[in-house]
Amino acid sequence: MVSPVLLIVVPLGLAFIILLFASVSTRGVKYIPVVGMVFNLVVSLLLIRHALDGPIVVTIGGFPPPFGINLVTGSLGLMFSVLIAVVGLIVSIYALGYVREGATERYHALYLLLLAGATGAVLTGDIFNLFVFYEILCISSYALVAYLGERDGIEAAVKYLIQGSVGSGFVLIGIAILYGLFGTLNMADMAQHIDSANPLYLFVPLVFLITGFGVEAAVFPLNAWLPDAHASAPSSISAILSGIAIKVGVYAVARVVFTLYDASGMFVFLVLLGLVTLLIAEISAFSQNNIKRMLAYSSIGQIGLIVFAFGLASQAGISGGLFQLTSHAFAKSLLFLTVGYMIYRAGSMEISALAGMGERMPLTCVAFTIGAFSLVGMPPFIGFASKLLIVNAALAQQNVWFTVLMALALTGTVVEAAYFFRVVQVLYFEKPAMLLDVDNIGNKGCEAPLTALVPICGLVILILFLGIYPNVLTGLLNAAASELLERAVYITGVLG
Amino acid sequence: MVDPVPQALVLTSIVIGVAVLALALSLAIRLYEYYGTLNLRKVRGLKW
Repeated sequence: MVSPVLLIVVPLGLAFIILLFASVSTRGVKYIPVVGMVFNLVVSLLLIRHALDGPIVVTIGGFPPPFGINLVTGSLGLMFSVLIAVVGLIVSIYALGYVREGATERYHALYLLLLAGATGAVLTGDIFNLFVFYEILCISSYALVAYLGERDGIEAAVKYLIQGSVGSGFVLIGIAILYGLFGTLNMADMAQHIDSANPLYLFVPLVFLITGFGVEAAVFPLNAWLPDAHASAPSSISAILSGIAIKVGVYAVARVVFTLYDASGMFVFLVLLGLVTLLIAEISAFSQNNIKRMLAYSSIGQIGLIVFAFGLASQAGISGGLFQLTSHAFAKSLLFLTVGYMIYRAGSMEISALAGMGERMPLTCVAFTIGAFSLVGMPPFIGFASKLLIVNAALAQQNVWFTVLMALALTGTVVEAAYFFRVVQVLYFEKPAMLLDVDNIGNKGCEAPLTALVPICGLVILILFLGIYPNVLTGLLNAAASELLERAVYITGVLG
Repeated sequence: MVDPVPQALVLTSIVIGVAVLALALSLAIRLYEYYGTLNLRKVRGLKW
């Protein structure tokens, strides 16, 4: 069996090798992230079979689990690691042709650091280690938002950095209080002894941790940074932030609420928080004229739906939430990747400037439409399967309130359909307002280049395939959901 | 006997803090170049 440590060590090591390698030759540097992510994908897929039998615990430095730092590669962590590797690989292929400006070797190094941080955060079993990897993820994403060095990017990065640092401060204080209470940093050990502490003392770190990780997860009202950061970053970075970075925040919140605390009193709060996030974000998205801001607000809305599904706290609800998380990662990165070249060709981020793109960039526009339909939840795309699971889970609660809340959440989906269909309508059925010199530009040279079309087609195939055969994922999703729900199994799995 | 773990934690978070500060300062320099001020109330290029 391959050691799961390699999933973190290889991207982290390659990130520094890139900088060394760049002093020799800057041309080949961009292929290194692709290699790293292919490696991570293969290793994660190889490990799935072992992880389904029980969490793989790797001790570092030879200290057995309650002491020292350990990695817990359970089905949940591995599901995230596969997701990170797939989206990371696709976006790194896209970046081959897309990232041209500036010191590209720094882009690729930071990109690998971001992915290493994300993978580390989902695989670790030590809460302080979680914080460190989370910070690696955050710092590299601050820098990547500002990568182009334009006015908007810098301003967005400053906002993101300030809010993210305040959130990290909350996380650190929460961890410090927990260490003071239990004298351990191991999450399984802490979870085992959580009942022995005074509930009042436990409540404060819980709130601090949810607030801190909530900033990265962009739950309302901690999401002010997200529309700016996602709209101003290069499109490949928007895709990875939307597909991976905010999901790691959701993972951390879920890990704290379910595994660490088993805080059943928080579940209703999560449901309401998710619903409020969903509705506010969808309504804000509806009023946007900038396409990337619209997609960013839509990401917040989807996070709301995922948190809502987690709050149901049933096997079906959590596996539905995880499925929604997967489907959103694929669909939203597809949308950002396609929009990246549309903006490039149109020269503007305004939705009205994209009129007539359906003729100029047919393949890209079809891919955008598929992504939009999947996000709205139309069959046969992956979004339909995931939303159906969540609706079923909410109805299975046999509670009139959950039915009402689910109806409200579906209203959000209707709003979502309205603004996505509006964009599709602009793409295909509206004539360009300005008289573009279409004959000169030509229809052929307008399509996105091959390095963009390959990852876009890959995502389209994934969305279609998983939409038609959602059962491929069911085994892994159910195992991941029971890892969150059955904390006793997690504790004995780690501590033995 | 002193518990070594809190010291390791504080040291790690100081190192992280230095990294964040370095990035924040470099962003602040660029922000000043664009806006001529560091007053965040006047930095309003992006709509809220």
